[in-house]
Amino acid sequence: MNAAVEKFADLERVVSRLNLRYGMSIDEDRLEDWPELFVENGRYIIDPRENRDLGLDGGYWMYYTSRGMMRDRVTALRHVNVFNKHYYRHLSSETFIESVEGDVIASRSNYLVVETNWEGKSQLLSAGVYHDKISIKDGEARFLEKVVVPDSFHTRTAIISPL
Amino acid sequence: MNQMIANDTSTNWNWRSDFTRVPYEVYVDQQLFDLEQEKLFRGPCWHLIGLECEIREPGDFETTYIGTTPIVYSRGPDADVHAFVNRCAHRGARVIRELRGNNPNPSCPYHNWRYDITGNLVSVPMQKGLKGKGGYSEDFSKDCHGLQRLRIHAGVLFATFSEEAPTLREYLGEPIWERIAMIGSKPLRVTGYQRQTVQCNWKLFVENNRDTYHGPQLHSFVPNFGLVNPTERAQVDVEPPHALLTSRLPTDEEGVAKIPAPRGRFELEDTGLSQSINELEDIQVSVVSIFPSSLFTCIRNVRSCRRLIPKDPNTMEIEYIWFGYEDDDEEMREVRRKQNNILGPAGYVAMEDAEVLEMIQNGISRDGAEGFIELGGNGTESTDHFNTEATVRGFWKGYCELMGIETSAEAATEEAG
Ligand SMILES: [Fe+2]
Repeated sequence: MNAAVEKFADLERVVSRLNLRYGMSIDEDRLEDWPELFVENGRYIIDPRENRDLGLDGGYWMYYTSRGMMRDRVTALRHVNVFNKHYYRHLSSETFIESVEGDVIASRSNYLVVETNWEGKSQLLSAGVYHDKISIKDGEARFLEKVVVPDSFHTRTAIISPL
Repeated sequence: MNQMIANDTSTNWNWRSDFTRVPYEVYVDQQLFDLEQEKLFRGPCWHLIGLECEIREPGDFETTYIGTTPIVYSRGPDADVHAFVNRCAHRGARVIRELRGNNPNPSCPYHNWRYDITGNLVSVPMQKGLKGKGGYSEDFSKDCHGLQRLRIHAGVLFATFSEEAPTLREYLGEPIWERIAMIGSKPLRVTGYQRQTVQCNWKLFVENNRDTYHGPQLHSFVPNFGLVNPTERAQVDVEPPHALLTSRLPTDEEGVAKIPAPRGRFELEDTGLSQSINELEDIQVSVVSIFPSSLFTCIRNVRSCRRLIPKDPNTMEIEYIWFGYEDDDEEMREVRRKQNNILGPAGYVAMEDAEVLEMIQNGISRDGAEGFIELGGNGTESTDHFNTEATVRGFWKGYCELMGIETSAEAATEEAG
């Protein structure tokens, strides 16, 4: 393998691994780890496909423009909000690297989230695409932006944890 | 005790005439659900179906439902607005099979009956048969086979199946008519859609949205993060069967709104969520709950129409249309986007409603048990506070009247004794 190809394969691994850590932080109920995968002014957005296809700039399910807003979500889920016990299980695909500019990688991966309720019944909650912008600094990868675009733009009951 | 007799839906519910009880069976009964379709959704009621700004160009259409009936609203060739049932007049297939689009001549896929976007039937294959054989009789008239039309009111779009329904203004009453006019007083701009299924009866959701009791109890995000302003002035206008909830900022002598600093158990790390821009005079919260199932709400800077779509006794869907105004600048758009984190399927507040309503629905068994609705007494009068369930009683008052359900004062005294 030549060096360029190897470098590219490395980047794919780095991005896939970051998405794996993202999903596992939620699935394993380590919600506090989720904001830390982002840079300080990182953005976490859930933009249902219907709106994205129409080019509409509102109607996001979540619109968090800083790590602080994500931490506020975690505080609310831990201490304040009322919801039924549930488990999410994230499955993300291999990563497609769209571009590399300086230390910023733009990539796409598919995802599925299966929700299991308090009675142990599982159902598909959401299917869609992650549009990620990731920075690699000092050997550490963090999200600059994660835009989750659910194909499942009609959802059931409630989205409690990040998709 | 409620002994329901299954073959007569409109009587024998033993319903109290002060509407301080609701039999849980009304949330699961299939016969009642079917009767609601006839008496309410296809009856003399107006339903909020969308916004005129969604259909700008001739041929533009949007789809939704009134009750269980699929409908289309559209812009005709002369800028006229129409609504019709999305069901071919021939064999009943859906003529339009997209959520929205532009199509001046939709045609049914089954036998290719072609319509125009106002619902007129334009052409029918083999109307005169082939080579003189078959076809429809001489007296077949395309004019008699268009798509079923609804009465419509422009602007914020309302529709009704009924010729007997009064004008929209009479139906809504003056306070609600004026509130809607105030919110729609400059050109609207749709910012997004959201769609959600909730496993509960549609009436639970309507009650929830006009229930001023549960807010501070269930939605502790708001007080815990200090997002509540204890000096706001509340107003509940009960206009059975509708309800209008308003919360206004207090103003000083110069008329300047006073916003106290947030105080709660937790502090927002990023206060973007709590930033708002005063835009509707001093109104902070405006919930217009239109009987039977339409909602038109402004919470701070977040505006929405909510269409409630009953699917079966245990299932309903919500279609949200989020909107702002054409003249919103980028700052205002960003404020609306951030505040929207409170509402919708993932919203700090709204997600709790969906969870709780499902918990009610799946706890119902048909054992005669009833809900208890006596906060603020047993009347349906307007109040200058939120510590009442008068709006919920107002809903059931309108419901029983239109459904033809008999109520009795004896039921009330019997239980009380
Ligand atoms: Fe609520």
